[in-house]
Amino acid sequence: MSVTTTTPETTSTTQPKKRRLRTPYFQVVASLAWKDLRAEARGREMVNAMLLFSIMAVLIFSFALELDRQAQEATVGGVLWVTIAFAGTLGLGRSLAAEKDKGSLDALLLAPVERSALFYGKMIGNFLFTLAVGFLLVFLLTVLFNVNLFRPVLWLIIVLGCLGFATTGTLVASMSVHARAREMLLPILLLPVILPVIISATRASTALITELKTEDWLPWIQLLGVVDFVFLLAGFFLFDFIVEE
Amino acid sequence: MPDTLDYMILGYIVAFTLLGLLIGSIVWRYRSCAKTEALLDQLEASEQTSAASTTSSTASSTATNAVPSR
Amino acid sequence: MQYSESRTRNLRWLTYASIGLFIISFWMIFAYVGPERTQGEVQRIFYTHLGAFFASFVLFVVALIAGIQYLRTRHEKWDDLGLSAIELGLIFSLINIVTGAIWARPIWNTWWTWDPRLTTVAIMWLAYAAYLMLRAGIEDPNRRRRFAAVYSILAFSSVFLTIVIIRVRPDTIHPVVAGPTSTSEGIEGDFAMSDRITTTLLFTIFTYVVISITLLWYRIRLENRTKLIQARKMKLLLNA
Repeated sequence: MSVTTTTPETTSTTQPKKRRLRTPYFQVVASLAWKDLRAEARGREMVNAMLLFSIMAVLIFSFALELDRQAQEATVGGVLWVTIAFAGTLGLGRSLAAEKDKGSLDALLLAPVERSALFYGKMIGNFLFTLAVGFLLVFLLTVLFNVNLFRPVLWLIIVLGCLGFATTGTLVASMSVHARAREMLLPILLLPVILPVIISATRASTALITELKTEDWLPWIQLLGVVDFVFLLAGFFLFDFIVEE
Repeated sequence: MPDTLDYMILGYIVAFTLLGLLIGSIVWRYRSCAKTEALLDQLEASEQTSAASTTSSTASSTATNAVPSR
Repeated sequence: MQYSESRTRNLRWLTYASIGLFIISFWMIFAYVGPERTQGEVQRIFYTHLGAFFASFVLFVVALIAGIQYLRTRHEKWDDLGLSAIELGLIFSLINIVTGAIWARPIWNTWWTWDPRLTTVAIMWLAYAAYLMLRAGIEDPNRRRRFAAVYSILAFSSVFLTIVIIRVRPDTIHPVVAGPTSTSEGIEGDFAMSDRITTTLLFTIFTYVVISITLLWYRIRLENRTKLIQARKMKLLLNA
């Protein structure tokens, strides 16, 4: 899939859409992700909304579910993933809608680069924002639910889960952005498709937090890995069809 | 053997009602298609009589619109 | 209509076959097999329950293939096929879900439980309902067809999950009828299958698949007809 290049890129300000020659694949991905990160660092409208939303969601959960110690351990995994899914959906809608409304999506599509590179670039940006929510939740839930979430394996689950979420999410959001009532359509389209990720991540997290045996959570992590891989491949093949025209 | 006859009858009523609604909706849509087609035939015919010059074009239009058979 | 004679004849024969099969399976369900010992009469629901599931499964597989074929060939007929298959598949899986709930009331003592199998089937239904929402939400016809094809491929992941989950989740209480099961403990409502039950079951599944294919054929013809009418309307409006 690597694209041959004729000019070695050396400058730091890589803007693939202005070059006539083809930019290396990974560089397109990196610069697109970097662009999203810088835009966020300046405006911070998306990440702020996502973080604030997840704080509120967790507060509501901890008020609504006044639980004893054991029940807290059993529910915290679910609360974690429900919040990540909803906050992530919020961010995804914004991320793709901003590209479309400013016309930058069309500009990107004019660039002589692989379409799938654009997909992975957008995906990495969304992945990092979702991951930020995930790790904020680790702190928040540890404090509010009094359950220790500082476990490296749980972090692995969060990384894999957010990866799967961001992959499918970017794919679906790039479709829903063209629809009427796109804010409403995105969760309706996304949640059924994202379910394999959410189920396996929730199951793995809950089994890990309630300290079940290794064979109780390891299969779920493996399943999560497989699902991630399938969705990454699906994004590679299907994104071309979504953005062509 | 437990007496579960009521649930069995309820289940089949619901299942066949849904199947019937499905078939009914397809039949109904066929009928409304036929009605619209009849109306279109009429309109096209009246247009042919009113504008004799366009006769050839409207007559050929019905033939060219033919859907590939399946 | 401009359909070839032989195809119309085939469709007519298929229709007669569906009606015949339906009558025979009706007789088999209510007369040929006796009521099951532990569940009583309600067990007869189970044949229709599974028949409808297999019909919807076949239709969703058809929709998946139609989606892939549309993206490859860009022929509109594949989009019609996908839409028709999903519309019918939604009804058949609704029959599947509702009959399941009615069966579960006396056997599990509840209409609905968040068992993995039931959950994934509900999600599958929602995914395909979302497909219709997506179609309704996008105006540009070319883009609508493309997105619908992409989404029908994505939505199939929920069908896959429904098939797989019962094999990997040992804590389901839903009986596994076909294929290997991960455990036999904890399944409520399972029963030994006599020869007559097996015959009736296979026959009913076959019947529902044939019925679904017949209806699919009619539904595609309806789609073609609607499009033709639309074209004629546009023509008239332009001439007027």
